Amino acid sequence: MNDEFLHQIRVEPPPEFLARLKSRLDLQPPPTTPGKHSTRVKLVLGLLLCGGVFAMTLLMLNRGAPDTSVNKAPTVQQEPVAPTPASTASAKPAPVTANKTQGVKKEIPPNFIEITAKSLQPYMSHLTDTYFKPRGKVTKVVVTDSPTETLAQWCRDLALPKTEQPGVVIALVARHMSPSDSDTCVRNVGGTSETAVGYQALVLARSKLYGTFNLTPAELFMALAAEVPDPARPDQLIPNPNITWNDINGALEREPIEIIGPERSSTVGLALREILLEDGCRSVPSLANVKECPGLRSDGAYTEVANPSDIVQQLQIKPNALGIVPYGATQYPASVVIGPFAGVIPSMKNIANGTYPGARSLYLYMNSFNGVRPTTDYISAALPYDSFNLQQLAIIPPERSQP
Amino acid sequence: MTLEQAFAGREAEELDWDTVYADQAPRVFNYFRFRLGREADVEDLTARTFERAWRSRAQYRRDLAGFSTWLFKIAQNVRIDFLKSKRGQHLPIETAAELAADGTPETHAERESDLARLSRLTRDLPDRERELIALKYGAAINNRLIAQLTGLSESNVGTILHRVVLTLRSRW
Repeated sequence: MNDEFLHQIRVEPPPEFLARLKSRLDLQPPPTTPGKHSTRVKLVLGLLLCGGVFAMTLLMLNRGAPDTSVNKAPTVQQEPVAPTPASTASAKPAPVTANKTQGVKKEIPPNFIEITAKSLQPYMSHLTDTYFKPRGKVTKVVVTDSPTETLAQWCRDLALPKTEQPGVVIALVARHMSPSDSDTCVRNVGGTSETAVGYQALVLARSKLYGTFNLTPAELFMALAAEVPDPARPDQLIPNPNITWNDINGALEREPIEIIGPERSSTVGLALREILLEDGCRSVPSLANVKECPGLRSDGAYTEVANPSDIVQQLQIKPNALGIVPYGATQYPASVVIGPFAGVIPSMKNIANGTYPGARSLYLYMNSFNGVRPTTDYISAALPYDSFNLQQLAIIPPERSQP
Repeated sequence: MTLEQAFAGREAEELDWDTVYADQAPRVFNYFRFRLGREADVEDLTARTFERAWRSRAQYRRDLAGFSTWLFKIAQNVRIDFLKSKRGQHLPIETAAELAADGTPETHAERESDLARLSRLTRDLPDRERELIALKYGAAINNRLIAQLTGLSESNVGTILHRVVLTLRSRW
């Protein structure tokens, strides 16, 4: 059978990929419990249990009988068995020591309480599955409306009276803790730890046919927002009257404002609001101090697309439209060009050094707790290779964050 | 050291996992290339397969299945999970080919086009036939192992593969 043409389709995997994967696999503990041995252990435990039941039965039957030396056989004090960390741990979980009955010390895994904003919740779940679940029990997940609220909630939860069991409270937030946060939080929390866990970034894309234009955060806000300041009375908001780009800035094109982006209620849609819309809103002088910025416009200028990877495909159909897509250089077809935002071209270097305004840094904050604090390197190594899923969330994990 | 030597007379904890990895990684990688018909996501799925296998390798039982059989069962499950998660997120194969070919060396582009051609030619085949092609020519495993993985008899595997290869050859 002439099947050489099929054999020739095989390729060698990229060596750097093989090396990277191997280094991740090497982080996992060596196998120690083959099935045969675990069967033996189960058998021994079963025999011990049967023996215990038999002894208890004898004790019950002999209760009230004359006190003989036979009945004085010592009984075994059963200790509650601590739950075992899941076998998926890629490194030995940090144990917590707590005092138990009769002064015997028993290692138990910690309880985790997690707090995160809706826009970061899938990433928190990701970190939970890969890092925290193998090390303890996630007892509570609190979802807030915004990353700012997350930090406030973190401080509040830690300020609550201590629960019966020790707990680690973890917050995934989208900025560094400011000195004013520290005043409140550190006073309640005591020692805290911070771990950088990557970035969330959005970029502006357009078909090569029309090319990109350089927008400022304020101009993008004036194109995206449902309400904008009334030019006559800037302290009052009016429905967004901007139809063409040059309505916002005379130097921009006389093309209709047509923006294609993620669904407003989706994870990336919420990130769009928090990263681009609110930042633009605060850069408009009359809105700098408003309590709440306007949301996305719904008069047809903004088209919502359920799947972020479909946005760039839509740009090929509507070449004059502007797309807002998750950062991910390998996903863009050649027909689409990524433009600058506030004069800064999105690159890993510009995102990491904070100069690109369409991105935000992500941090895990935890109260100090017996060595469960993860390091950035470890988080990076523990995350599975599903860059596609993370890219769909506009998340750049720390491993791929090197400038 | 061959894979058979790596396993010879040893329990799971004594295996030379470096040898196992070196032998199996290219097979799993190419299995996913053949199944997906594109380069995108292949590294992700290969990594998921090995991470899943490595996490539970203590539970691997030599007396129940060969390591390749066990590993490719995991790979098959990983692929099914992936397809479930991608339901409603379909990217046309032309788009994938365009993205993958962008800026790659010529030789890579040639192979990519062969892969894309295979994907096009096998698109209308039943899933079972495509699985057999991926296991035989992607994973490069023998008919006996394929039979264990697919539940078919060894002779049936050979017959089906022969028929499919003849068809593909005539259209290539």
